[in-house]
Amino acid sequence: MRIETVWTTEADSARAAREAADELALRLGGPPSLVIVYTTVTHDHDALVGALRARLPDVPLHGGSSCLGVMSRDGFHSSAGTGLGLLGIRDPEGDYGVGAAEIGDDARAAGSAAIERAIAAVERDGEPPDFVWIAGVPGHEERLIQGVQDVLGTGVPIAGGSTADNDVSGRWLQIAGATVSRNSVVVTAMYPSTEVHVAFHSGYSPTARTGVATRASGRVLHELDGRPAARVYNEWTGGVLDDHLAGGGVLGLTTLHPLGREVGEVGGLPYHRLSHPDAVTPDGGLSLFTDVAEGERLTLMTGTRDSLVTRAGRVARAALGAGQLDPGDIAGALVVYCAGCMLTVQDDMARVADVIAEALGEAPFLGTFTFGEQGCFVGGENHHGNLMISVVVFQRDDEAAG
Amino acid sequence: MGDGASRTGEDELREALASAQRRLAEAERARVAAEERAVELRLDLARSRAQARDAASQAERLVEGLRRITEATHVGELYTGLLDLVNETLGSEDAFIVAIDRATAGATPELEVVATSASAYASLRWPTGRLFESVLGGKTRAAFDTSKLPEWRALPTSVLERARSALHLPIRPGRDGALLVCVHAERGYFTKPRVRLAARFSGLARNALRNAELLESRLRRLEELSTPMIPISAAVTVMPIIGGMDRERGERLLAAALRGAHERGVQRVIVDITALSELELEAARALVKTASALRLLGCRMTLSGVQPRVAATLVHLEGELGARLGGLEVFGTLQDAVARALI
Repeated sequence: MRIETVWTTEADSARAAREAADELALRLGGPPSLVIVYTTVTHDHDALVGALRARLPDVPLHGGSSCLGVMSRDGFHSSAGTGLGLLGIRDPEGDYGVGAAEIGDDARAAGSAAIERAIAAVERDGEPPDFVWIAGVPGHEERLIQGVQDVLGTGVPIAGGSTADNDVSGRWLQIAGATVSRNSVVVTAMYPSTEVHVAFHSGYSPTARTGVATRASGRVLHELDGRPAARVYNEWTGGVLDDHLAGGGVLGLTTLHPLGREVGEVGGLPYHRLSHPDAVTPDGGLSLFTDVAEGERLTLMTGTRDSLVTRAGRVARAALGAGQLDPGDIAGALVVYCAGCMLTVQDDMARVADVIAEALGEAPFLGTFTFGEQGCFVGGENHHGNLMISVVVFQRDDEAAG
Repeated sequence: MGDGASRTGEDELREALASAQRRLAEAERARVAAEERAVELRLDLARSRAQARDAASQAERLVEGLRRITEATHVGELYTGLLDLVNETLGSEDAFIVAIDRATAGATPELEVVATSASAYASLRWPTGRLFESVLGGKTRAAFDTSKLPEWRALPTSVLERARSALHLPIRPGRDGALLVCVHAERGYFTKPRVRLAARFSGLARNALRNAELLESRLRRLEELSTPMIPISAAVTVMPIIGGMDRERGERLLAAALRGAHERGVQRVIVDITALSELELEAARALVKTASALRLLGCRMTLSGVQPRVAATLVHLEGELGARLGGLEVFGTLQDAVARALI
């Protein structure tokens, strides 16, 4: 098992892809078993994917769009909102199958179809992968996860992120092999020759402010404890929505005050997944980036700007801790970092990359910025959440470690 | 002046208030950050404790498993122990052991069940496809849905429903390979933690099986050495009994005589007990039983070299049975018995 990453902010899409692919193959010492590609929406993706396919024929390719840039141990890579990053895995003893499906009007069925195709691509029908990496479309994540779990059961860790664009205009895209799509789910069924460990954290702390969703539909929380949700939230936060109670976008105002739901507990300590309020609806409700159901208890969470910077390193350490590994034990890592958090601490993104690099030692990693994060909690539950960070570490094999 | 002094005072007050608010805000941020880290540390600690508990529990179960399976002296006994143990340890509902059927060990060998915890699997056969070859090569492989596996697809629906999930563990690699298969009705039951535990367990099982097979093979060799069959013609074989003779040895004699008579097609077996100064009653019964069983194969048994105390035991047994000793012919010396047999 060998992992390498390359990145570029070259604006010429074909040239960026050619140079990155050549560099990746050179560093890996041969053709990769899998390439993960994250790109900004500013690229010409037909040219980009065409060049990647020409340089890395027959290599399974899994990708999606990332907000403004990508991240590696060298820092945050973005030039005028353009960036490209590749992570290559060379693992002749492992199997890596990529599958995709158009979401259409049944996201759950698409999730099932994509994982079936990913498994069939490596002729491992009936065999559970060690881990599933996912890239979907904002708005469907819960059903995509359900669809994958309909096939595999709930025991296989799922992680990844919702594809993103630079301005929330809906230009996100997904890449599977030679195909570029705008409404697909792409999954990779990973059967690596070494162990994989996942951490999924919110990092935010719960406050004493809690309430029950008394009226909700889809991703809109209309009422909390029988009152308009935006008004209750505004009281809880000490007035962050004072000027927006009539309606409109509030994404940037709520990043440090998401709503949390208990997912499980370890040793009596609850852990939460987060929902990020992005707008106040005309009826005084709150639109979220996750589904919300009536009867759910929601807790106001709180965090700080500084914690958005340092938390990524702690999640990386948690991923190592899940496998009781030291930084020297891993071949590389994938990082999913919430685009909302990234936009809040954009000037400090070099520090974010530094704290992750410090936690992971010499191991290369590739980070993407997403409009929704999926991961596996410490209790083994796969979920979609907002303002979350997912880190996946791939253990080195003994030969490479020696 | 008064106004100026008042403004200065207000400015100072305002500045002091702003400064206090800034410090308060910083303190609040520090408090939130500290609380966030504290929550994460507490979760990490709780997770570490849970991991330590799991590891200790797994180690305990593995040690217990190791103790049980290393005590097995026969492969059959080991198989039974293994099946019980995996069902207890991994929570599988059924388990069985399949081995390559030597009769089909050609181009596409098949696997047959050699031991099972449930009779539903006893007569099943599997073709060796890609997955089983990989397991015979030493890899542990799980299935979240057996109906999708080429090797399983042809099995009856009732079996596939009962064994929706399966875990395949190598316990003897190579051409004489054997696999341990654990099954569960729940789809996707064999999750990564169970697979990890099973992979550790299968290493122990492989070693225990190797040891049991070695031990069994040595016992068989010992048995052959302690109950040799010496042919003196195509139809006559002599089995000298050297050393003591108890019930267990009597049972081995019975098995060896039957095997020899069947494989070699002999018509008379002379069991020479010249070296025995005495004979336990149970061992004498085994001798009579051997004679009766041989007769069913069309073979007669002769006893030679009977010593006085042995004769007393045989007479006692004859009284107990109320009949002749299973049609045994008895001679005082081996020479007499051989001479009679060759006439």
